[in-house]
Amino acid sequence: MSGPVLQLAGVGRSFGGLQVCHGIDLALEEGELHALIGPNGAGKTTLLDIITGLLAADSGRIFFRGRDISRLPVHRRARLGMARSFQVSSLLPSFTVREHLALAVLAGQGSGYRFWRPVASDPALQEPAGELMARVGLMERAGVRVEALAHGERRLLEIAMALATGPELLLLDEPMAGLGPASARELAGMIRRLKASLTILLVEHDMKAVFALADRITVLVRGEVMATGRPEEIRNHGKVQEAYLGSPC
Amino acid sequence: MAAETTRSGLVFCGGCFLLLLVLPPLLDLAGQQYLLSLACRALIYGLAASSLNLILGYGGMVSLGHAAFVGIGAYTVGILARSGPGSGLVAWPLAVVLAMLFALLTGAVSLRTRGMHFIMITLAFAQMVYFFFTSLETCGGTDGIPLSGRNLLPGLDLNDDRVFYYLCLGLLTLLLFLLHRLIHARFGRVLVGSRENEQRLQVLGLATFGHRLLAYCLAGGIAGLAGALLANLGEYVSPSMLHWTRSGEIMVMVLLGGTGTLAGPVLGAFVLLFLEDYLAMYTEHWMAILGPVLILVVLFARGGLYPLLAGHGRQR
Amino acid sequence: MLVLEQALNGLQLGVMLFLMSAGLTLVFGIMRVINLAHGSFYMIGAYVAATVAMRSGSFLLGLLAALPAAGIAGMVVELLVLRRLYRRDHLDQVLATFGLIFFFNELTRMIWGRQPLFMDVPSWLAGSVELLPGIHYPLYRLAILLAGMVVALFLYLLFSRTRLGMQIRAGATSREIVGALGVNIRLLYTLVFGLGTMLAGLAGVMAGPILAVEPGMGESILILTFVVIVIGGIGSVRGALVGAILVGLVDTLARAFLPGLLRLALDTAAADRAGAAIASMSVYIFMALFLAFRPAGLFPVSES
Repeated sequence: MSGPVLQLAGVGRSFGGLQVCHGIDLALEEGELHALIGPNGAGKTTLLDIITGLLAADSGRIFFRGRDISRLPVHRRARLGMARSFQVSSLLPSFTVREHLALAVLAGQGSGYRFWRPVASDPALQEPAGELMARVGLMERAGVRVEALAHGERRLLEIAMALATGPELLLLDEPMAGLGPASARELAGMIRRLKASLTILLVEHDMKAVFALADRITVLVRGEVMATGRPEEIRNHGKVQEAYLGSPC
Repeated sequence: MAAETTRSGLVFCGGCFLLLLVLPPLLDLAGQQYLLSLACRALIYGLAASSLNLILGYGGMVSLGHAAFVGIGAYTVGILARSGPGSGLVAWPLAVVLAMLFALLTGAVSLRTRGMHFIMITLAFAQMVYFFFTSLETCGGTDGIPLSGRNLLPGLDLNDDRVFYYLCLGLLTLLLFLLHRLIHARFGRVLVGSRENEQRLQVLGLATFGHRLLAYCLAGGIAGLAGALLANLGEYVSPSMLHWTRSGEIMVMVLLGGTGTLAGPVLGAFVLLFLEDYLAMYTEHWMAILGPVLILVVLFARGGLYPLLAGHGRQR
Repeated sequence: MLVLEQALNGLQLGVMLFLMSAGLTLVFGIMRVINLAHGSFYMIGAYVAATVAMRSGSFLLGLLAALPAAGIAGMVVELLVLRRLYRRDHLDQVLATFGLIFFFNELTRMIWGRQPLFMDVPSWLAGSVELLPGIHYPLYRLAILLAGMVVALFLYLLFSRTRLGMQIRAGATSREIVGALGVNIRLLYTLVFGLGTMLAGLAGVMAGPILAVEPGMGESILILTFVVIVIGGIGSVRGALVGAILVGLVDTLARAFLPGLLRLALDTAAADRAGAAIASMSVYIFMALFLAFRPAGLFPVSES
């Protein structure tokens, strides 16, 4: 398929008088891992909210595989093949790990208008859920409610849920935040393997991981795109170094 | 969430069901036949409370307008019965369908809102139904509609109180079983999920609004059936069935028994109705006692009676 | 003209609804607690005023007794019950305040009996005035309108000119800000609640001579009050004023003129029946239509 998977054209959003995103252009090519970096408050999470539809853009348009999705509701965009993990884990307090994944698999298969067969004994849901748990290493925690999960386990569950719907585009919002070095390395490996089959937009503060994983990087500063390019271009970009990479973060 | 399948829960529910099964002969032995009608009332209110529990306990929609559905069901039976007792096979399904239709129309508006707005809007819609029926002379105005007899069903003599009791018990058991299946099936998982974090479900690609609206309609339909049964029980359709305090009482039953548990609302209906009856024997001002009891229950006994008796926590 | 008279009646209902909803919308907006028992304070105001006025023969004394009675009753309830509900979910709030209604209704039955009390219009407000040539309007109803305007002005000054008003307004937007300013929030909440119930009591006093004073009288106006608050936007006093007047006018005018309008299309008996039925639902239909376009009400206060 030709053309970008996701394209933003002049996307802007303000809260009250505060312009959080302004005239953002961005294009994600098929199969690339595109990293979005920038200092805190640059508008990265806001941009993900706008792409997924949780927030409406004040201006500009969003295209998914050439189709204008600017006005589609959240769930319709997801159904087109877009999945997202959240910066602050956004889970269901009373659901276990297995129940989360069964629900996410169900969501990927369409609607929930089936009224008879128990989800807990439905192989069409439980088998993929089991595979996902094995993939992220949460098999032993299957029956545990999220309240009892460790922080890192919640991050893994977030990613497993995003994968469960079988997306073409994966939006990851700081997946490595708060992870120990070992699990961060493990997660980086997983993301690298995912790259083979998915287009990924990665918001991340861990620069080492970003420069190791990304095909291209976009730098967002104060709601505007400062630069886009290959990792080595960004590394050598004068303004970026000055504004962002120079200062420890 | 395998709440009712824990052993203690099963034992408790099974015990209660057996008790209800042998209740009529027991009351005969004890010479307390008048309690049969009260128990039947509690079964019907248990049905209404269970339907509210579907949207309130599992779906997280705090509706304060449930009396409207009960009332629509009852008035359907009442209006059809003006030309003499008709067949329940016509009147009852019609009661269910009309209540569902009302739920569909009002739900489409009110489910767009959240929190306090939702509570007040469901209340206002219910009040609209109250004024509609009480201002129509064809519906008996503020006097209500007396029925000349109960509906007819093939093979069953509903005018026999025992037959009617067992019919209510059967319907309630059947509906609880269906609800149990529903809650654990895909639909129920989406409903419970949207109670916990609706936005997350939408990001996963689920159209939660449709699921919530369908649950709202199902609840309305079941409450409509409860209304039809209630009209038959007392052979009278009263505007008080539509009064907003009735919505509050049904809500109290759900909370008293345990929100989000299958058997809790039925337990709550029995406890509330028998408590009212008991208090009324001692003082005509029983509401002055019930009110503070209610406040104390809310403040200090969270989770309801069912988890207490069956030995597991509330799921919310 | 009949229209003018009915419009004035509508405004007068609007004023009563404004008194009810001004306090309640603040309670909703600031404490984020849904209080079903607000009508009980309306009832308390009416009963105290009716009793004192009957014993002393003075309407003014009744009014002066009713206002603090409703205000103090409100603050006691806040201290004993409401305060414990602020951090609970709405379901718990609904049920506890529902219990309060049971209690207060039965309490009035125990004290005053089941028979309604009747309150006379004070002699100095009896009679009517000629507004326009040929149009007479009861003086007492005009006095209600005037009182409502005075209260609206008082609230406006309170909110725009005083420190307390500023704190209340800030509280409606963000609890944290008020806390950060070092305001004693618990005291502020109690005062706001007391102010709200006092206004409800005032509405009850004014309704006394027009309606029957009876147990449960608070509930019918309570639900109309909810409609007002939903239309106006939760937490907005300005919204409560506009919403109250809209609801008052819609209700009164629909009841007065709808049967007549329908008579143009239907035969008289059918028109009267249908007109009465639709008129009694008019406010709720109005609300539904309104919400379809503005789900958050006229003046939404940001709920963060």
